[in-house]
Amino acid sequence: MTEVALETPRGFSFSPWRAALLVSLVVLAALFLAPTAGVVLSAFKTTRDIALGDLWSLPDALYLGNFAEVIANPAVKTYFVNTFLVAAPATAASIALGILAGWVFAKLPFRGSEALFLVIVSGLFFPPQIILIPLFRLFNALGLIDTLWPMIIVHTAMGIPICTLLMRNFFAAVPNALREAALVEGVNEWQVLTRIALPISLPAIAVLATLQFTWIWNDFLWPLIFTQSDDVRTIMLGIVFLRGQYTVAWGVQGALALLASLPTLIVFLFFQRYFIRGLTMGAVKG
Amino acid sequence: MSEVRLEAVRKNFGSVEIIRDVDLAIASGEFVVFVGPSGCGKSTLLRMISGLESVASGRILIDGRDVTRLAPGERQVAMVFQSYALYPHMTAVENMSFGLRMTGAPRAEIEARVAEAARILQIEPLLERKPKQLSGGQRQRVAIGRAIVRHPKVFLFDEPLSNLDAALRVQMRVEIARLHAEIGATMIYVTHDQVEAMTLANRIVVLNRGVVEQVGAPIDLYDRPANRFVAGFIGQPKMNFLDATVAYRRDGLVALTLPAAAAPLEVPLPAPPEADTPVTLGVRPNALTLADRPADLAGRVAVVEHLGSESIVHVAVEGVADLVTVVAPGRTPLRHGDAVALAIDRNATHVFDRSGRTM
Repeated sequence: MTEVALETPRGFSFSPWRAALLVSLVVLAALFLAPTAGVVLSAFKTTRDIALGDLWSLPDALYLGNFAEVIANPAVKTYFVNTFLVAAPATAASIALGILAGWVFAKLPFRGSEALFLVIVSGLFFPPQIILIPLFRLFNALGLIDTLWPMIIVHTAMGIPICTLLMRNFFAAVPNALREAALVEGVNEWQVLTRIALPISLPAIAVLATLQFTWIWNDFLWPLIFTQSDDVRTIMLGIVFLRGQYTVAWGVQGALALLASLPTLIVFLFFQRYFIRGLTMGAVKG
Repeated sequence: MSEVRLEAVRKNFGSVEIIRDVDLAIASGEFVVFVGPSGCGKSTLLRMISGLESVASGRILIDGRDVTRLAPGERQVAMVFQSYALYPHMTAVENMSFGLRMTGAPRAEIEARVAEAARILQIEPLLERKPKQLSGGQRQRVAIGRAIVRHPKVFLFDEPLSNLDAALRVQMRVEIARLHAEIGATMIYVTHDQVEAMTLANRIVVLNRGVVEQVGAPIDLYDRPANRFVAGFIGQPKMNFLDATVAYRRDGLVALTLPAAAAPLEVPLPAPPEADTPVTLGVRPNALTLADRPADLAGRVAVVEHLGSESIVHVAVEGVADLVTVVAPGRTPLRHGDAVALAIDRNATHVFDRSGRTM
């Protein structure tokens, strides 16, 4: 009887360390999610409710007026189009350059290529604030301030280190024998890259595309520096500028913030199916 | 079918010489096997012929055309890799036709060539499968098919069977021999497995530290090795080597004093050296017999390996550092520690000088 009472259910044993870890994780998760929850809640509340300090309670009814106001605002459409016009080409260009550089560093090394690779990758650790003023002066001299070009160029350039690093490491894992087999068959280097290496590198490209697109889409700093008029503003800057003359429109901003996060979510969902490993299985023994 | 000629070919990685002055002529339709221990340069030499490795000096000619500086794709060779190197995202048929498609061959011709290769290799039912859906042997067949469709002047095989299990290796070995008999192409094959070399080759090239030690027909290499290295590398189990000293010589005969042997051993030798010359006696395990009474050598059994049809007995002989290996027919009752006497077949011995050359 006593023995039975002392038994714990099979597979369960209380561990204080485990409990402490669990509590810490829950607290951290709550802290991490709180701002997002605040944005979601404010998006579905009236300005009056928020002004009365009633932010953290669940709304009695779903108020969709904020979304209607955002969608009806013609500037919002411009913000979306501008952000897409920056994010899409900058993502594509930085990945394309990363692929080319990564292939050379992984498969066509030359004297000094390791050093050059380190120089390029060191760009990852370069704080953008250092080059704010020189870049502003440069683009101003070129007459490109208050256009989308500076953002496209800067994001492409700043994406090269991470794209090169990831693609070089991925290509390094592609067996050399695949390239050599193709070369012996009379296939040229460009065909090896585009017909063999890229198709089996889709997981790496998918990860890069998601990361790059998200970073560029969510960027606040460079649009703030390089744009002045509403016509060339991107979405993150647009959220800040979407406010009343005398009041901060928390609800409208929350609604736009939610809408603004949709494209990155769509990009993630689109590339998610490539996030699978093992595409090289069967290529070589092992 | 094409002939291949290597003229004073050299290769080095930095200051390390990998291939040293290799001269070799491979006749059209010949099956030549490069064999040697790991790091001997056999794969490097093959890759130099393919164009995947550069040549430091010397020339490589295929059908009389100097291809030394040509890109791999311009040499009209096909290569089969140890790791298969199949493109994982393509089906077998796409793998086989890839090179032809990329170089702009007509569609009808590609289809005909793939069908022909698939028939030769009996892989028609596998053509729509991707590499991961194929077994090791099937993958290697597709890789060979990829080589066949190109109708190359020379086939290059870089240890193609090393990744297969023992039973499949034997089966694929027979298939490659059959393929050579059927299409009669010039084939150069690299292996470290001397059984593969012996069974497949018209001629074997034995390489050691980037140098060609000997070139010849398999049986010639077995019967008349040029030096101790070749003697030790060709033949399974390996040849026994015993240090000896010349006791005396007569016409076409030399008497050797062996460690712990009762009397000098007289073996035939066309040009016997002077008395007291230190030499090495080479005796293949099947040239030794287990004797009932005192014979040429005496020792104790260290290990017995039973193979069914024969037994391999390793004997510790006094004064000999390595165990002496004997192939005994059938099943021997000998066990560890038993005292045995060994008789040497005088007519199946090899004598090497101290530099390792056959005397």
